[in-house]
Parts: sequence; structure tokens; C-alpha cells
Amino acid sequence: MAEQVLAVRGLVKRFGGLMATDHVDFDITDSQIHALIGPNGAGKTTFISQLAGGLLSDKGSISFYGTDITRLSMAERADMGLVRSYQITSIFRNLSVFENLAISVQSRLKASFRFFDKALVEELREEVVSVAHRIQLADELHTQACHLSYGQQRQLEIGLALALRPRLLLLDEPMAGLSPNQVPWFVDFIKSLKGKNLSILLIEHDMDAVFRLSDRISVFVAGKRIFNGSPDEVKSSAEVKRAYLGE
Amino acid sequence: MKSHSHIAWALLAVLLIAFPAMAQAFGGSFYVGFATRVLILALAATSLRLLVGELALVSFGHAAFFGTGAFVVAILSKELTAPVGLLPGTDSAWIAWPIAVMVSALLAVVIGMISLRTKGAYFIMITLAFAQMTFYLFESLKMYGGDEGINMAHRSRLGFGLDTGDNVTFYYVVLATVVLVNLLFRFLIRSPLGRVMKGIKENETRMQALGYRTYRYKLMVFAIAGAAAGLSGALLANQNSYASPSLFSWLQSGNLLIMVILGGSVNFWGGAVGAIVFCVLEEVLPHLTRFWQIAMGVLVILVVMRVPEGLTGLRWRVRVPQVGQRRSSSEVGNG
Repeated sequence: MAEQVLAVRGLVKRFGGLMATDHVDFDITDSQIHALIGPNGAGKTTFISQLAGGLLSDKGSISFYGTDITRLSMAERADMGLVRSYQITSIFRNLSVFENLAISVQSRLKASFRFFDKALVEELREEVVSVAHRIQLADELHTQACHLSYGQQRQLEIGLALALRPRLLLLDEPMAGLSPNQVPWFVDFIKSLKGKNLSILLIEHDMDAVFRLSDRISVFVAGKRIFNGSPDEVKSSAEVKRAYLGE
Repeated sequence: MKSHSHIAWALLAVLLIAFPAMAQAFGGSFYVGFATRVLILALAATSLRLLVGELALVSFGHAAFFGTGAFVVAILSKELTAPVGLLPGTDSAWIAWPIAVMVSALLAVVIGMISLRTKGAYFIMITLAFAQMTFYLFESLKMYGGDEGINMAHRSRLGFGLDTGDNVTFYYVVLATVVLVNLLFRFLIRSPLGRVMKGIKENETRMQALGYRTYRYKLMVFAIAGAAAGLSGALLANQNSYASPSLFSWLQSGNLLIMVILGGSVNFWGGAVGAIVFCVLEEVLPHLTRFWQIAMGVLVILVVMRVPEGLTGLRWRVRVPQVGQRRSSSEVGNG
């Protein structure tokens, strides 16, 4: 039996009169890629922000590997291995790729106060280089992040989250704004991430990518989860077609 | 390039060390006291620059810590010579100065705990409000001089045969203190903690998403800056043997901010350079015109409009061509 990673029960977020998240139940089991699809304004990003802790929930509970995290801050959740990336690239634009990744690695190593630790410098460098290789930015370590191409910035965006060695990675439209010829590399890359002790919750609009990547798919419409199933079940569901695929 | 900067540092060190001898040789002993004051204010401005430059925290209440440091030293001295009896007094620098630093740091933690929950203009206004509260508090302390402030019988004693009452000796004490604090700041900025500061300045939300409790880090740096400002206040009270509530005034906070803006907040030395330029102008301009403050104002406006990175952001337009790869700055700059 696969381990339960995330268990969400009756989650609610209201913005004034708008129910952005409407009593959502949600489960993720270990080493799965779970995709979240739905029309714009369905509340997908709101839901991810609630999971990551950027937005506090009005009602309901979130449990991560059995621990109730409903009231924890974003930083505390990141420490536990629940890490998000952003749809709108959120990197440290004026710092080099190396410094960007070093910030992240340093957070994982809890090294911000290791002032006199000579070994730390080497440990940091090795891990930064290894993450940079995975996101194909090893040749750009000393480039200022704002001088990277858009695609490279998206790679760094994921790299920052990855360097924390998350157990659950929340990817909010990782391929947003990429040109079609860049998408295949990203799809393969995300697929390669999945493995022991890493599950992924993915928001994506590119349906080809979603069907190629995901083990399970949830469909959100107007803050409600209207469907949950395997890719094949989603493809054949009349309800999903009516509500979202528009066929 | 490296050897050039070594030479520049060596020259600066010689200048700072030889300054009192040079001033006396030219019959201007007055300038030893002036240089001491410049160093003290440079320390205060450097501590404010740490907040503005490294964390983008524009504190308009830095005078609160500056004044607190001055008053702690002055109150302890008064308790020794003309006791009010609330505290045991002391005139030992080894006791009074660390207490001044700790009380200032503690005040910074209290003020920071509340102000750091706000951002931007709100942060500016709330730090200003707190500083004004300390101003009125100390102005109303009648047993400690009220609005007249406190006179110290003499400067804090250091022992080891050092007579701090002597202006030249005191100059060197201040110089050593300022150099030590600068080394400490430089160490912090280059440490892993400095990397966290850079990240918070660039993108605080992302820092939180990466597991950093940014509020705690900001509070810690705020306390460090407050402690250093308190130390400079303690030095200033010593230099004048006097602490005035005006040290707490918003004008003082404003002057420190102007120094940082003049010198530039991005560069490590921005605060110090700004303090030197500010103090020299404040000394020289009144000899030239009664309306010197207008001239100062024009200069600040010019710097803000023409060199937003401040005087330390100025670069030579034409670089001397060097043997090897480096050519003109325009080629390097647009790469």
C-alpha cells in the first residue's frame, strides 16, 4: 500500500462573496504525479497557495505525511518538504544562478548561521553544481538570473524548489509561456523527477503534457473538484468534456 | 586592479592613523575633534545603510538607537557623580558601552517586532513614530535633565593608561571601534547570513517559500543595526561629555538617511562616505553663505536625480586602457 502524502479535507477559501475553494477533498499517494486541470478562474492556483501556506484556509484541514499543517507558515511547510514553484517566475533576478541555487541549498542545510564552517563552502558548491546540472544550467552558474532566456528562467524556477529536496513538489504551470519546441524537454524533465519519496502536484494547461505525465488527474471548476480519475477515465468522461474540454 | 586597491587601502589607513599628527602640525587641533565626530556619524550611517542597502528597510527612526546609546552612557555617568539613585552608576567604558549597546539592541528588538510587520511607506512612518516616542520620553525625564539633557563630568574611563579625556587618544579609540564594527559588518555580509539578506531584499515571498522565516532574520539585522547605532551614540555622548534629547529627534534620523542617500545604499562604504561628505559640507558651506542649507538640499536632489546609487556609485567615465583583455568601459559594460 502506497503511503499517504497529502490528505485534504473540506478545504475552503473565500474572497468576499467568491468561493475560490469550495469544500475540496484531495489525496496524493507516494511517488505520484497528480495533475490539476480546469478552466481559468477555477481556483487551481488558490488551492496550491493554500497547500503551500501562502494563503491560510478559512475552513478544512491539510495533513502532510500524517502531520496537520493547516495552520503552519509557508516557511515551516517548506522545511517539511512541501515546496511550491510559481506560475509567474519568482527568482532572485539580480543574483547569479549560483547564488540563486545557493540560497535554496543553504536553507535545506540550515546553514545560515554556520559562520566559521569552511567545509560548508565546498558542500554548498557541490550541491549547487549538481542541481544546476539537473536543470541544465551548469554553464550559466555565473550569469545574472535576469540575463537568462525565458526558458532558462523557468528551469531555474523549478531548480530553486528542487534544491530543497522536496517530498511533495507543487508545480504551478511550469511550462507557462514556453515555446512549443521547449515543451518536450520540460515534460521529460518533470517525468524524470518523479521517484521514490517525491510526488508532484502539477497545474498545467497543455493537455498533451498532462496526459503524458500524470498518474491521476483532478478537474476543478468554480472552486469545486468535479472529477478525479486516471488519464483514461478523464478522457472518456462525459462530465469532464461538458465542463472543461468543451466538446 | 587588486594591487591598486591595496595601495588605496594602505593610503587610507596611513591617512586615518596620521591624521591627528598632521592636524597638529598644521596648527588645527580643532580638526581632531571634527574628524572624531565624522567617524562617529560614519558608524551610525553605516549601521543604517545595513538596513537600507542590504534589506531595503528604510528606517526613519534610527535616531532612537543613537540617542539611547548616548543616554545610557550619560545616565550611568550621572548616577556615579550626582546620583538620582535609580541605578548604580559607572564611568567605565568597559561596562557602560556594552550596556549602551545592549539596551539599544533591546529597544531595536521591541521596535522591530512591531514595525517589521509593515512594509514600504508604513514602515517608514511607524519607525518615525517610535523614534518620536523615545524623543518625548527622554525629554520628559526630569531627573535626567529633561530637555536640557545630561552633562557628563568626564569621558568614560578605559584604563590601561589611556586618557580618553585627551582628544587625540579618544580619536584613536573611536577609530579602532569604528574599524572593528566595519570588519564585523563586512564579515556578516559575506557570510551565509549575508546571502539570506540579499535574498530577502530581492524577493521576500520566495524566501519564505524556500523555508526562510524572513521576519526573524529581518528582526535580527534590525537589532544588530540598532546596537551599532547605540554604540555610535555612546561614543558621541563621550566626545561631547553631554547627551541631549535632540539626538532622538527626527532631524537626526533624517540626517542619517541623507548621509546614506548621498553616499549610496548599495555600496558597503556608502554610509561612511555620505557621513564624511555631509559633515564636511555642514562645516564648509556656512562659511560661504548664510543659506547653506539650500546648497545642501540642491546637492542631495542632484545626487538623487543624477546618481541614484549615490556618490559611491560614481564610476570613472574613461578607464585607463590596460594591457590584456580589459579595454574601454563601454565595451565591458554592454556585454
